[in-house]
Amino acid sequence: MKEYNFFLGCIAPNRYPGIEASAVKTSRKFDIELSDFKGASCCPAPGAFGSMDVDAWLALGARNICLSEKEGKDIALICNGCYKSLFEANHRLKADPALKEKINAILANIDTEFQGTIEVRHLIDILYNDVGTEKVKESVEVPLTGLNVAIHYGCHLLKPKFDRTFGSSERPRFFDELVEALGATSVEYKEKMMCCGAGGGVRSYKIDLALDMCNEKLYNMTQANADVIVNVCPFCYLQLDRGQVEIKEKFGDVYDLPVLHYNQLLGIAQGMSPEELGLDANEIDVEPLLAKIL
Amino acid sequence: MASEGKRNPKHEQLGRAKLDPDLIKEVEARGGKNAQMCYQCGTCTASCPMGPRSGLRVRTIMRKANLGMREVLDDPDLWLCTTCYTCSDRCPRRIMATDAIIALRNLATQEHKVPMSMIKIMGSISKTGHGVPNSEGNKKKRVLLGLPENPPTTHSYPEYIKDINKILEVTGLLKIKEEMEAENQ
Repeated sequence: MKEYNFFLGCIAPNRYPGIEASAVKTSRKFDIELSDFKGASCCPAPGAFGSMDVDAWLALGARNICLSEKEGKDIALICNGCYKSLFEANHRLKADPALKEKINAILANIDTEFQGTIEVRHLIDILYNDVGTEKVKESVEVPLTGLNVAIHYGCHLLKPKFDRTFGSSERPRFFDELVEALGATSVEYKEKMMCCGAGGGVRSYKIDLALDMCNEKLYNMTQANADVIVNVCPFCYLQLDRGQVEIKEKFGDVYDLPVLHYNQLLGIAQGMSPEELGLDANEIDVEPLLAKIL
Repeated sequence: MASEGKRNPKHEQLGRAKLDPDLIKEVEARGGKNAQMCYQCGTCTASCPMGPRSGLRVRTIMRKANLGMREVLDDPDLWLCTTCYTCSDRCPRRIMATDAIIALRNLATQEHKVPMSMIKIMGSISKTGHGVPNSEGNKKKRVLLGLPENPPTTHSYPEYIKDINKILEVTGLLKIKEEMEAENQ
């Protein structure tokens, strides 16, 4: 069994707790234990917080990493925003001694020192690279045959590519393979790699522009006959799910396209009930989707 | 050199006296690596998903930063970048234009030109440790899922919040927040 400190971030535990619950439950099927990570905070939000002060953003991210270093556990997380903050802080501080010294000078004020002894992993990376699509496929009890999935990778999982390990940010395949391992079809749609529009603090700064971008994305997905949007970022999730309610109110466009985190889709395929995956927390009704596959 | 001592009237029109040659160095020091390498090809603006629906022009921002035009810090469009990094991944000069924009935002924050929406997020982190804190309705959803009402984060262990505030204090952000809250009351 491999144990990770489970870094929750904000939106998963505090808005869509089904993402948190489904990650823990589905990972156990692969002998991965996601443990309580005591005292962790907001990563902090890279777009909003990094925009105010990069050093403070790195120091606050490093504070979270240092808590896990003390326990000697690697970190697993389920949000692209958290991934940007913690993965980048971890590998930048490991790679750049001058930066590490600068951030450690800040951390000295709270009697903490970044050592560089642990890894920060996105759960989708662990599923693809450690568990593998074959084992994911073997865990399926309810094949999702006939389900058209519009995959949204989300920006900070893949970009900037020079600060990541996934290779191409233009035409990646690993997420598609993980969805196809469940029996579903990953549909190609226009501008698939486009941003959801929420990041960089834009959703809280100018929501109409954030939603305009989201609207274009949703339109392209429905044009490809998608039954569901699957993503690995709770902030994209919120933008794509709650955003549909806001888009209906502001622009009058209606999509009714359900949104799931990959862990929730995996949970359905592993035979878990919609209730234990927290799908009722969604704004957009998931019933039509469930009717198609269950 | 023959031209030394003579002023180019074109430069006067551009307001050269107001240009700050250190601006681009500050941008690079704050993470906008190699920003001086920009040769204005426009791949960034062409790749930007926000560009077609707003006034955000990444190439223009890069040019202004390189010319030392500090008024770029007053540009409200500076805050329209969603930090998707498409421009950075496609830049033929391997410039992180997104990080240059973030660096400019950092400089704007020092001058109290950051949107209050960002300051609010900082306020929430300072108070609870979370940018998006828990809510009463969400607590009920958590319990139904077999999860504790509050996650095992600073929500369950608020004694960790003082360290967060210490970092905000020593980096000067807490002071900016307090001053801007007072200015905007």
